[in-house]
Amino acid sequence: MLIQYVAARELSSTLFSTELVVIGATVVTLLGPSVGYALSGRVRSIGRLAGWGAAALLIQLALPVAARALTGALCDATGTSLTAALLLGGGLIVLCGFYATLLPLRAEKVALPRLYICELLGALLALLLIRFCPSWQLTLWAYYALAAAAAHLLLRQAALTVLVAGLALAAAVFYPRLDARAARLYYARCRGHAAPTVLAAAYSPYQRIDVVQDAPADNTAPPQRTLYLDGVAHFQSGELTLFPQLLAQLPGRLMPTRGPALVAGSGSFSAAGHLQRLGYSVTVVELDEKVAQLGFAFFTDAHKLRPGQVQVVTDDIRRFLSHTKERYQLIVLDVPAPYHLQTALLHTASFYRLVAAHLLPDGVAALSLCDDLDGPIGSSIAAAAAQSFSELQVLASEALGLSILYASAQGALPFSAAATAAALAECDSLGGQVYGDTNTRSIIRTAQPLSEYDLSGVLALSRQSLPLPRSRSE
Amino acid sequence: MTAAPRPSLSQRAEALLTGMWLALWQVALAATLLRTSGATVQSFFALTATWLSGGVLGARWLLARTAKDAALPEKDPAPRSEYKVGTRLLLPAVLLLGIGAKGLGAAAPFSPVAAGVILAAGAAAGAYAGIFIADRSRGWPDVARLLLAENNGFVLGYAGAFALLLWWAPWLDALALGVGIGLALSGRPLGALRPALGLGAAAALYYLLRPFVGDRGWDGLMTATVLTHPDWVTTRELLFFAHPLVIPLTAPLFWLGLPPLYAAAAREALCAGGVVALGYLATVALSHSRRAGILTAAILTLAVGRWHLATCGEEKEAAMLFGAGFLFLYLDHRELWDLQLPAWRTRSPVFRRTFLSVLLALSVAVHLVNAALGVVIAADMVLTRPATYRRAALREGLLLLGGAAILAGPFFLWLAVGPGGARTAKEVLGYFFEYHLSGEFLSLPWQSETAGPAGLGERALVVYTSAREWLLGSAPGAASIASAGESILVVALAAALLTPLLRRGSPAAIRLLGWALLVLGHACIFDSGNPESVAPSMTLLVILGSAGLFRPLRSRWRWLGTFIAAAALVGLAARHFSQERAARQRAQGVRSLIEPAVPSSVPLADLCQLIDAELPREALLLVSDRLHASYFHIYTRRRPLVTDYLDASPEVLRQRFALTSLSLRVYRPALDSAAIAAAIQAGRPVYLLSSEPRPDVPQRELPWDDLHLYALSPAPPAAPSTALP
Repeated sequence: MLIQYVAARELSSTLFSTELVVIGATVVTLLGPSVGYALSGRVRSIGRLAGWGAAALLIQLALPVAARALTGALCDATGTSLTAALLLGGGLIVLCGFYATLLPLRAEKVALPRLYICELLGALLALLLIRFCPSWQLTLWAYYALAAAAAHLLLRQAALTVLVAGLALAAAVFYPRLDARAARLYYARCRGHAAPTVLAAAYSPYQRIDVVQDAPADNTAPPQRTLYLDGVAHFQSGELTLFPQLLAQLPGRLMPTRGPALVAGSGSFSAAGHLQRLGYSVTVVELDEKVAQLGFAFFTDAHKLRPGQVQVVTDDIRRFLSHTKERYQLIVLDVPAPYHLQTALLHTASFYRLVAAHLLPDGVAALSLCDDLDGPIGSSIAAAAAQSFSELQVLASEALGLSILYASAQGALPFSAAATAAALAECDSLGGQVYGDTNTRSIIRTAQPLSEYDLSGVLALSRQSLPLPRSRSE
Repeated sequence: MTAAPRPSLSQRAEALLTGMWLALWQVALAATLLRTSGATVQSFFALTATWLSGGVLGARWLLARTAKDAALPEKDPAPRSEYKVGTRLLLPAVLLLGIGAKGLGAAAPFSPVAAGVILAAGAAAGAYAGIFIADRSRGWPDVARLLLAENNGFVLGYAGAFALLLWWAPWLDALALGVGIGLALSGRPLGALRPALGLGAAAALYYLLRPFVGDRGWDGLMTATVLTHPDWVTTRELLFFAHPLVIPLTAPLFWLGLPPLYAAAAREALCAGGVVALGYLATVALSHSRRAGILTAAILTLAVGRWHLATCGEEKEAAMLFGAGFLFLYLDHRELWDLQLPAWRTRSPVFRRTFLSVLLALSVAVHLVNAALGVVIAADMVLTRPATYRRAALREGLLLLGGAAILAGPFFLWLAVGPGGARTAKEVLGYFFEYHLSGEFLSLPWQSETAGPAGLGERALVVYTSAREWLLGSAPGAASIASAGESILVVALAAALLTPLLRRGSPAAIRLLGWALLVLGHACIFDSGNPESVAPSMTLLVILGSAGLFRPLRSRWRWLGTFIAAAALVGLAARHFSQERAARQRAQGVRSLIEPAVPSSVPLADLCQLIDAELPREALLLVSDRLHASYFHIYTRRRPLVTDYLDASPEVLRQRFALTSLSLRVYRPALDSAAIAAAIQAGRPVYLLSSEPRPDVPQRELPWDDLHLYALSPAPPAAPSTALP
């Protein structure tokens, strides 16, 4: 359980985290036992088993750092590496397969049910450890200690146990330094940062969070900082600052009245900061408490907020909305693109209906289409919004390369397309287009809306991010 | 040296399928938890922990049981169960918990109770996994092979589950449930039920995967409308008088995530599969021939009209499943035939009577047409020979009818008096005979244009044509009414086929024929031209016909029965697939216009969504056919106005247009023609969707049913996108 958990987290936070990568990582950790069961009858000699065990041990000790280092060393122009993915997958099969051989080997002597109960109890123990361990570092100490314990129980030789325990201790002690180096290599090679510094790296129960700072370009501009969630850029001071402006500041400015506002997803708190300065009373709902902590602490230049100026709630936004009776003037959905099932549910018609039900009569919802309006993902998200909201307006920004959708729950939007276009011209030097309700609905008329029961958009988006050769058209 | 013993094929298949089911079930539960309890990490950990804890408890329970059995003296060992360990109670309980969790999650999302049921379902599934590994390992020569087969199944199931979850999630739930049911059934003694269930499952799967491509009927559309807009109706419409439990039966499929129109079709497909299974059992019981049973199953599956009606969500298969289920079991209970059902005859008579009473009450509550079963039982009581047997029949009949009346009577009375608002006995009757009294469907042959015997003959031909359409479908260009010669020939052949069976076969045959004739008789006066009216009779006649063809023949004539059956099946299959292909081709126009990512089996739904997207939000839409309005109700936020119903009061709509209370709720126009004229005057865009030609009005031709979209009031030019430099 512990190895599966560490492996799935490392692979999914390294190989551009999408649902397909998570599924792939989990399938690989499940394939390992099949290989172990299939070979358990053929590797009964001590020599073969010892060789396999030694290889598994080395992979286990290296895994928490190797995934990122290997991908960083081998990555190609797409920012990922098929070779690294295959090597990691193979390594995991060797590792998980070795542990899987133990149950049938031992079950020859003792009845399987008792051993099976022990295995399940071990998995439960690991689960409790993962859930209640206060830090990732401590979880890794247990993970490394497991290697030493396994070596002792299998070999019963004090010298070898000491050797393995020494290796495990070294891996645990040097992990922070090795991880930082691997992360620097990874962000320099795979994400194109110039001499990056990892200001903070943390593992929450949901994801790995990195705050990466580039080397300062000159003395006038502050160094660029980026917030990464599972290796995917969520906020970047610089070009991505336009995103919170268009998503939150622009509709916030155009609204005739200022009242309560809700921001789903904290990120760098830029959206919340814009709205707070415009006079809104802002509530931020963030699922991952650690993201909120790091976002607030490391992006003060972007949000310019003081603690207490916005209310932060740690909860799932769908659950929060289904329980609250509050209604808002403006709801900003600053949520990740539908790379995962969890985030895809925040782009569905049923979620948008929940959002619409919490808007004041002249309220507005703002959301990102994560794509162009006529793109496969963008049109699916817009079609879902079209099913749930009354009037739509879509802003396609050239500089941002994405479209943003504003919607009202009942009746017309409180600002016209012309007003939006004028506001866009002020903040986007490259310009763009604003589509009114009729044009938007006409463009997406044949699009299949993302729904709880049709999440093919996740598949499409995940596929785009796989480290596979692309055709020219792609 | 001898080779190591190998596990049997069934052992390997069971391990592989169990692993696959566990993965499907785990992912389906996790997805339900994610949807209905949120994406918090606590949910994920709670589900994994309950699953693992269940596994520990399950394996521990098995160890304790094994120890207890081993402690018994050798001369008095524990009785050997015919069920595989875990499949008798635990696995069905796991499946029921999963269904309950799904339904509760849909009905009360983010409630702790719903999350609790999901976790309980996870714990129970984990317990089954623990029991499975601990128990089956004793029968395998090598535990590594068991673990390998189970783990391979898990990997396959896991990958497949996520593929389905991302592509079309309802199939994940359906597959998880289907494989679970299959495992539960494979672990118990089934006897003759095994081939019946196989044929039924195949039929249901075919209906689910290859539905009719085309327009849907009123029943399917209304069910879907009520599921989409429960706020539009009251309890009266939800428990619709003619088939009170049909919409509630469909709701769980809707909660599973099926689109509403597909939920109605899926209900019928599943019930149609059940009817096929019952048909097989009945035919084998009548003819003692499996070939006859297979013939019945094949004809029922391929009958073109039946497939059309069922996959469009008309409710006759649901009615038939409950009705036939009752009658067939009743006849078995009376020992008039032997369906060879495991654990039915061995039950006590009290249990069987109670079960049959409940089933009869349910049958009538599902569809009023099943009230005819009361007449069949009464006839059985009166006509049973000799007199000594008649007394037993009388006793059983009275007990069953009395039991069913006690169960269903208060429900129907409440339905009429409460939601129906009836205050007198006449009003109660009027409530349940709303269709008959509306005048839309009831027409007596002697009241038709052709009076006297000619009128009766003409009506008989209409009913025969409906029956033919149920079996063979209606080809474009075919005569609207069959010829008298053809119908006389077919009836004579049927009589020749059935007479020996009725005279010398099981006494159950004549009772089945009685029910069939009763429904046919009703069809002569009620909606005679609709194949739906004769559907129950045709199902029974197929059963009797197949049994008649294969009843114990002398061996020299057996080849003839097989030849006729094969020829009939080949002809029916050719007819079925040609009509299926033709229906699909008719939809090509709509598909090439819309180019949907996944072609729908309801082209008009795609077309209505396209029209809705293209018309301005504020546009008024009129439709000449009320059923067209239903597609907008189900698939869009638009509520079109039915032109014929404009300016009509509810009384007029009831009397002149025969609108039921449900239709009134859905189709009664919100505006009158004066308001529409005022809207046109004010420049509001008004459109009409109709197949009636209107040459002088600006229009757009649509590639379905000769439909045109007429612009009655010019729409303002669409605002171009506001371009910036």
